[in-house]
Amino acid sequence: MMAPQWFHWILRVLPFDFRSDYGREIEQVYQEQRREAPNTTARMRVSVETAASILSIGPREHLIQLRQDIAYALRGMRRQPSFVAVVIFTLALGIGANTAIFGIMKAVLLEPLPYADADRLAVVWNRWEGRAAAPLSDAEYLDYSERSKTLSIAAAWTMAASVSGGVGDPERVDAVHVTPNALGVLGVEPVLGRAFRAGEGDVGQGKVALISHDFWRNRFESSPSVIGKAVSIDGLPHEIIGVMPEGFLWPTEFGAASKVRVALPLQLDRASPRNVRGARRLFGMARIKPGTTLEAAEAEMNIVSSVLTQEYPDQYRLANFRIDLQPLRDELLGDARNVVLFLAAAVGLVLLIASANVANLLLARGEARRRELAIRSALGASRWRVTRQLLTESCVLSLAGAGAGLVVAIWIQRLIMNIDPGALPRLDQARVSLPVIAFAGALGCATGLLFGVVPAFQMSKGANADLKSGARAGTDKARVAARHLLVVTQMSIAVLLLIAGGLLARSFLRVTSVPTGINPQGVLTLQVSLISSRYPGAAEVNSFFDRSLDRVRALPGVRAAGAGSGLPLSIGSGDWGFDIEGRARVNGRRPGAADWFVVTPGYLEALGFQLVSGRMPTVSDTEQAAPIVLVNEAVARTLFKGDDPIGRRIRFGGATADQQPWRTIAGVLRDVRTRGLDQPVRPEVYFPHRQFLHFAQGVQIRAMTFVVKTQGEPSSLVSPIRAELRGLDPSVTMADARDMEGVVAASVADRRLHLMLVGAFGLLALALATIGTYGTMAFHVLQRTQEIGVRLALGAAPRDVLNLVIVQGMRLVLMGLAIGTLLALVLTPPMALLLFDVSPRDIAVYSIAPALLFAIGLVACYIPALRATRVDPLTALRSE
Amino acid sequence: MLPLTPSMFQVLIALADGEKHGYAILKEVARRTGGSIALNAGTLYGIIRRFVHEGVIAESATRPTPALDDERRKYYSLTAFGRDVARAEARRMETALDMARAKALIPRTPPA
Repeated sequence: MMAPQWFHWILRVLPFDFRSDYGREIEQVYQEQRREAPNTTARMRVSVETAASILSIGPREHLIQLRQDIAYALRGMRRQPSFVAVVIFTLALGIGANTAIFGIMKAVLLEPLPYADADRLAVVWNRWEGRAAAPLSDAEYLDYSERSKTLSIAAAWTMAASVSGGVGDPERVDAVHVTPNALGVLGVEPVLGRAFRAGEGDVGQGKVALISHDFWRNRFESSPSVIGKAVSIDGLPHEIIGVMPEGFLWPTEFGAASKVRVALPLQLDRASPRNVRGARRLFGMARIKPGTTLEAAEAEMNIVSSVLTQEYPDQYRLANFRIDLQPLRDELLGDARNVVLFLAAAVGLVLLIASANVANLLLARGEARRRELAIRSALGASRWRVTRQLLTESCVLSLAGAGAGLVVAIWIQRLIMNIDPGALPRLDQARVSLPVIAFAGALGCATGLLFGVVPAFQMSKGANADLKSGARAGTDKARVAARHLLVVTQMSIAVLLLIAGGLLARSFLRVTSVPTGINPQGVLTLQVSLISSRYPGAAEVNSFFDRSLDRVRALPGVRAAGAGSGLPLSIGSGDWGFDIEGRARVNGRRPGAADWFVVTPGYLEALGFQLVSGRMPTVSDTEQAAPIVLVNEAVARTLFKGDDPIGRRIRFGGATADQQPWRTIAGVLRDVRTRGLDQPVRPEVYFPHRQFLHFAQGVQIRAMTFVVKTQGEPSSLVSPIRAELRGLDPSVTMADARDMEGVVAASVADRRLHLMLVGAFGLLALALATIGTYGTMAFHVLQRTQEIGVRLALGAAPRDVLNLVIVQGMRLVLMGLAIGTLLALVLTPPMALLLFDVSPRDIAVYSIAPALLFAIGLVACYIPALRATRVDPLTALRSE
Repeated sequence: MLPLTPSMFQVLIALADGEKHGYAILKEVARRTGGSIALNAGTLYGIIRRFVHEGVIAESATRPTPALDDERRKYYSLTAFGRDVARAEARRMETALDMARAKALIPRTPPA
């Protein structure tokens, strides 16, 4: 009588060996017990009890076996410390790189945004077709939020502020000014105290502030009684009404280098005229109200934008104005996603190479272990048992590698954060936390199976036969093929990574070799802004900048100083249309348009702008003097088609068009990459500050960037300049003191980070592939020592032997290179997003990377081949 | 290794007077303990495997006369080491019993 089918299934929980040793007996005893049971109940009981005991023994037996395998593996590893060290080191690099990037991916992409129901949040932009999105003006924010039924809209605007209070010196921090409804829109409550109340943003209300968790901890030692205390912000006392939760970030903080420490209610004047719409500064964030969708909200905002275009035709002159809603998550993390996924792909490939390397090492060692395995199998170990043992060994190795990889991961993360903590949003929150450790462990197990499975099956297959045949190693075709496959794989991945790294390197070189058009050396930059209540009109504003710059110029070590509304590679501007004297409008449109900047004398000189023709602005370009303007080469090129624009006159439009004078072009400046080294140069105009009249009625430029050319170290002038400006007016806000070289470097920081990481991973891949190829070739030669000895003894020339070995090795290398290059052609086109002025199929990179690997492969084959020719035929034959 | 579980000890006791196959062990244990220790095929072979692995019992090389033999059956016997283990366990229990008697937890056995 056969035992029922279910019983066979249950037996399967037992380890294979247990089953094969005792399965039949268990079945037999079970049947006898059943047969002798007096009644159905007793029979049932036998079945249930037997099944239960087998089910409980199964896992225990597996565990016991695992313990034995691990103990055995550890014993084996102790015998070969250098082999083990190489394997663990290789895996630590591969797993460590992946763990580091996973930690970053987790912090940057996978962590939920710190807002309730974040997928119902969107960012509100102004958009004109074909142009970058623009923030909102005060009037626009008020209009949008009053007119929308589907959205609750809040606005934020970040500005540097000087704060003091609690312990420590006064410090310069970012202060975010938000509409009082902002926390409600984001769905966040302070951990302590309360949020802003409606009306707290209104003019004339008492001054209140929310502080960040960090600020609370550092300056108030996490004291719960902080609520109601005063904190001084830009010299004015503010009452602390609440503390934000730990880890909370304002949407404007994502990807910003500096952190927001205090939040203040944004002061918006609902009663002020709504026709001033040009000063766009507000970051609009909106929650889609319950019961509606993003699409419905977009449709509604489309109507709002078309109504506004009709109400304020001269404010929305540019074609195709619309209000754009972007899901908040895409907006905050969209760019980071590309970068992180790209890095993840790169480190994944590195791990593949590392695995191939280790698999190769295991295969090579397996040759040496064939007798040991043959003996085990002769002593009764099944093939499955041997395979399992070998897989356990590789898992033990890779878990050790994962452990060491955690150290590597921490190290890589620190390195990345040192290069640029602001390169990715939330990068500073990346930790080697429990889930990351779990990831490393899982990756270790997966890797162990990946690199262990081929060698294990290869080695266990022949285990029985080897003892009988006396094992002439290296002759088994399948084993050789497996090793060759690994070399080909490594080479192809290495060339793929090298090409990706090469493309980024070339792109970075292209970007950084773009002439900035300025001379950033020894230039200090500082943001200075004035309070409108103290500087209501042009006269007050201009006079402050003139007087303060005079003081700065008088400081020792200052060679030139000026102020401008923009800053190359950092602060840009929108464009402004103008008429050109003697040229007709086309369809009512002004023939010219350019990005505009207001500059004081000394600004262009301090930054090293170069004059192509004409002259620089001077102190005599006052309100009374004939109005002038400077243009860049792009204006001369695109609007004057090579004619000399000097002496030509232009007149700007806007709400103040009737007050704008004809301005004579007095100078042409060499093009400067204002918008970024990787961005095309746009037409630009520069107004002397005293002759400037904003296109919107009554608007003044009160925020300017001071640029100071110094003799020595720019940073040494920060304190003296601050002191001078404070001496003039303590209410002046100063922020963001940076040297211009830092500004230039920061503008390409993300590219530098991509390059350094992918470059480093590419080099790692290169090193691993080199070691792997060399190892395989060396082993290959070793295995063929006898054969080569015979050849030499029979009179083969050493040169022939050399050629033979090299040709065989290089065949694999070339195959790998071909496959990898083809893979690169297929896989790199999405990289175009990350590249500047380099095609993803750049011919130079596609030649150099494979050539480099070819050369390295050649060396890796040559050295073992050379050793082969030195084989002493007698020794070789004797060892047979 | 000591103390053994009651089931393990009973398996050793069952084998103390000679080699037996699995089902015979199971039946003897049930009979001797009046069913208070009820082994089944799973628990029995869990114990057998462990004892074989540790060298306490061994698969017997000799087989009964062909008429009585069932080729599916394996016979097990105590090794010398197994006998020592069984003795040691019995002594351990004896010592424990002595202690319990000394404290009059259970009545003293009359001297034999």
